[in-house]
Amino acid sequence: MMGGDYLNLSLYNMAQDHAHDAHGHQDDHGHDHHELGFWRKWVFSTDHKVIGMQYTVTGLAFLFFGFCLMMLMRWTIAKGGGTPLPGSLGGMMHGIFGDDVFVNVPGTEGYTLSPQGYNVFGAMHGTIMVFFGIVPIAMAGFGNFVMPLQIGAVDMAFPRLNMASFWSFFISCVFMVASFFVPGSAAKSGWTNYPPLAGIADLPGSLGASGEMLGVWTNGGTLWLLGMVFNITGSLLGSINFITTIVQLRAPGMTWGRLPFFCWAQFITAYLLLLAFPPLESAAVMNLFDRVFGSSFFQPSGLFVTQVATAANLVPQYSGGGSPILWQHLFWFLAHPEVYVLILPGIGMITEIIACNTRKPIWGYKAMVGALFVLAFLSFIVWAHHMYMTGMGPKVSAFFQTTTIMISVPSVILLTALLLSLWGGSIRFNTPMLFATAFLPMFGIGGLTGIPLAFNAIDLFMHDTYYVIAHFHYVVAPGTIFAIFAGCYYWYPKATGRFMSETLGKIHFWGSLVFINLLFFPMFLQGMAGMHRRWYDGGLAYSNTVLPEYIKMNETVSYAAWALGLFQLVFIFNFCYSIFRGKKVPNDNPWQATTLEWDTPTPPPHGNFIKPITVYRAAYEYSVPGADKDYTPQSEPPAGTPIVVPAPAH
Amino acid sequence: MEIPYTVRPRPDTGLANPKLGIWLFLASEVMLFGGLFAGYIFMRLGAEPWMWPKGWLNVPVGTFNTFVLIFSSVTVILAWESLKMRKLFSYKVWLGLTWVCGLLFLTIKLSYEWPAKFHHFGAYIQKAAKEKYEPYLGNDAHVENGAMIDGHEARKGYPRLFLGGHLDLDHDKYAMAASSVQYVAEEKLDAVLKLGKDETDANKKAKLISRRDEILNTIVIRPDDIAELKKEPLDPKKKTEILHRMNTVHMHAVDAENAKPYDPENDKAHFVPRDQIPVEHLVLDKQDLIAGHGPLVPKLNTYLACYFMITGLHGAHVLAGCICFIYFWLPIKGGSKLFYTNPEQLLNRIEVSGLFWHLVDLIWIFVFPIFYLL
Repeated sequence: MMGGDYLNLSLYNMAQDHAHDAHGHQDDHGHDHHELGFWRKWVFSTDHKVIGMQYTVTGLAFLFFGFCLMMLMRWTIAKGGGTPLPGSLGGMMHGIFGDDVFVNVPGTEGYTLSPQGYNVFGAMHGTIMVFFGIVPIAMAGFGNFVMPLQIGAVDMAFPRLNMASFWSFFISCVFMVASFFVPGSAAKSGWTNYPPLAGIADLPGSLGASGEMLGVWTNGGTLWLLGMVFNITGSLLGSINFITTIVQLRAPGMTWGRLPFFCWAQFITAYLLLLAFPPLESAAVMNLFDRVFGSSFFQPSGLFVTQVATAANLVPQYSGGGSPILWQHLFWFLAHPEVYVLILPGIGMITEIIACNTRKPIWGYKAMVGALFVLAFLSFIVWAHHMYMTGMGPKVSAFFQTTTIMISVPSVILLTALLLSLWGGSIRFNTPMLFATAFLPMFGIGGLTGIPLAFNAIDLFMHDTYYVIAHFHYVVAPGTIFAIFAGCYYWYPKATGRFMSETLGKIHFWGSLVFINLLFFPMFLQGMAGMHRRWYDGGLAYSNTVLPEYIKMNETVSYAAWALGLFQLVFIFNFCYSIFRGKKVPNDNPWQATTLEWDTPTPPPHGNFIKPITVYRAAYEYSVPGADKDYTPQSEPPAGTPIVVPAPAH
Repeated sequence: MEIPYTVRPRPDTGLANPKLGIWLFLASEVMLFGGLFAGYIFMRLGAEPWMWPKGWLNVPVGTFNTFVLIFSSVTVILAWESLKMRKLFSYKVWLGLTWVCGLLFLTIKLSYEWPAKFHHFGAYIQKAAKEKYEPYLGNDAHVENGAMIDGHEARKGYPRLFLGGHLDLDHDKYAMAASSVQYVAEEKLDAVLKLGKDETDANKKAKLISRRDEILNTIVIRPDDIAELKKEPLDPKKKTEILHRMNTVHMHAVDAENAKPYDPENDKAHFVPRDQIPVEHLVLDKQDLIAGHGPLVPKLNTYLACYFMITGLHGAHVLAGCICFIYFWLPIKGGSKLFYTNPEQLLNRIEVSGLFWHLVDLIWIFVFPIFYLL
């Protein structure tokens, strides 16, 4: 062990020598000697921490925006389509989103969501939450901020590429937001964007509700695809950067076995993005071809499109011969690994927080890392369990049922290891830990309710019901989003030098926990009763097929959603207020954690560490018997070791 | 602050950052083109036999382009080798050849291969109208298998329903634009012309009139025809004439396989532009055509959709590679001037962009057979 450290140190010295002769030619990085201006420091920054914060703040804004869309949808679900929104809210929304989304309720002054608008909000809620909210925060935001610090790196391996990936993401945000304000409003064909519907909705040349014609490029469907292309490009650049950074820029002594679990999670997630996202990019390009050049990749033969709004049939006549199923394959080839892209960084954050706040090492670190690898591999061969309804036949579905059941094993290993990590710990229930603890049962419910869906026979009945909605929201909302909240509370002191308010944090936590369960749990019952996920009026039109009690649950669920929304305001306030008025951190390591990010000044400067970092021990050495304190930072040399000072960093 | 291992490899991984980065990027590129080729496979398996054309591309030109790319893959290695030996002049020669080859490839693609398709016209005949165009399709509906026609044996197999040729561009400069407009029934045209006529609200009327003009601009290509249609009152004779013009396609030079469908010469793979073909005039009624008719663009069939998408994206990659090489070739700070200050870094740059270039080349090795040969 010790010999290895010396070896690593000498390697480090060698590397420093190499860096010497590279120095002077690498002008790009030589500018940190003088202070950067506002634009280069906070906007067009190449510093991984600033980029991480840019991602996080943009992502949080989108998370709230996507949530607001859903809260408006919940109104028509609870009250049916004929009740205007309360007060002046309807008028305001109509002012913002226009005739395509909000319509006047006959006989009243008020406005409500139109069926078409419901489709718009439904599609955009899913898209925004997944691709513009959670992935940018959990993967790109926290990954960018925390991961290089945890491995002891000065920055990401390719800082300018890092900036490029953020700005590619930003362009995609602009496309998505702009798509609300073109004639016909944003995309309407679900976050999965299934053709042939996706090919014929919002067709150029058709008319929006206000009578304006949809442009060839300026229509919801096309802008959605353009947005996705930029979003995916940003993700790909980011994931290349993440993997290279973790492989190449680990500090001396930071062996793979000492890598904090969060970095492992980011590493595997980056691989998932790298390999799963390109097929969706190719699918998006094909779909763009269909929409803009009238090709037929996804348009089957014999597809007839009638345009009610126009006198002449201007719809592009598709040659046909395409395959809608192809889109589903390419989409789910991404979107199943995407599920793990959503959850793994969350599990990584939770692991850090649990280890720190139970004051004991993670139980089964190696098993967890192994589970990550198995999970990542299996996630590439389960995608068609989203497609049982396509009539794939028993042999193919038997394969996908088997792999789907297999993938629950590594997931359960992760969850069990985290659960057992609580055992015997002296737990500090601060706000991050509350969220982290709540994550476990919530993610458990989400995961276990997925097992029935893995079976073809059950899925044929459950497909597209509220059961599915509840299942994946339990994974992502009280799962990943709770992890994101935990991460915010936990790393906020490092980023700003101040704590977020504990009192407000606890109010936020308990409110969120109660109402998020009231929000999603009834959906399991509704789904099993046969409620379909895309019903505009919450099933009123189908009241002969669904029992009225289940339709009535819509109201409970909606009130819970709005209450949940109120409690998020507490978080927003806390987040903004604490930047200026939060309690100052007493030192650089306020949580008394072991990992390297707490070895930096607070907030960390450009270049991160002020002293050369060497790692001497595993990631979670808490409560080591015989140690003088209950945590031993990774950079603390073993007692009695002669300290070898590496060559000074530049 | 200095990011380590930008040039020299990290001892324990044996890699410099850019090399690992480019390999990861190539992995994602493989998945990207994997998705596109998956699309090709789906399209081809799903196509009806008569919908998937054969011999539309110029094989000798494609082969030439293939060799151009392969040659440039060799020259980029030689450029790297020259740099490794610290020979600046030969580095510049080989790298220059590399990007010249890349641009030559693109020039052939964009000045000859793609435009050839835009100047050609193709149409799928509806099955119901097969009889009408039978002499041009060469199906064996009227003849027994093996019967001799024009001294050649009648062909068997799937009914052909495709007609190809060139439009009468000498006489009608609007022919190509008009040809891709769909069939417009008289009632539909009437409905469009009626838009806004009886509206009393001036504001609404203006809106509807502008809407009418927008639609007319899409379905009627000749400006004088539009002006004629907008006249009040409209001459019904003129209207019939315009409708006829809108709803027929005048093919000036029919493809050889349609002009002489029984000639076994025409069974061989052949190329789109044919100057030596017999000029035959043919009028197609748009009502007899299915949705796929017009220039050979992605809209016509899934083969062309795949062709343009895959060769287009591949071309974009070639362009990106050329831009990198030109940058490293020019005597600028990040380019060949780096030879004097940090040759090792320049070597890395050529190695990394060369890896990318090989992948682009490799993708073409797949693209060429699946479109040109199979």
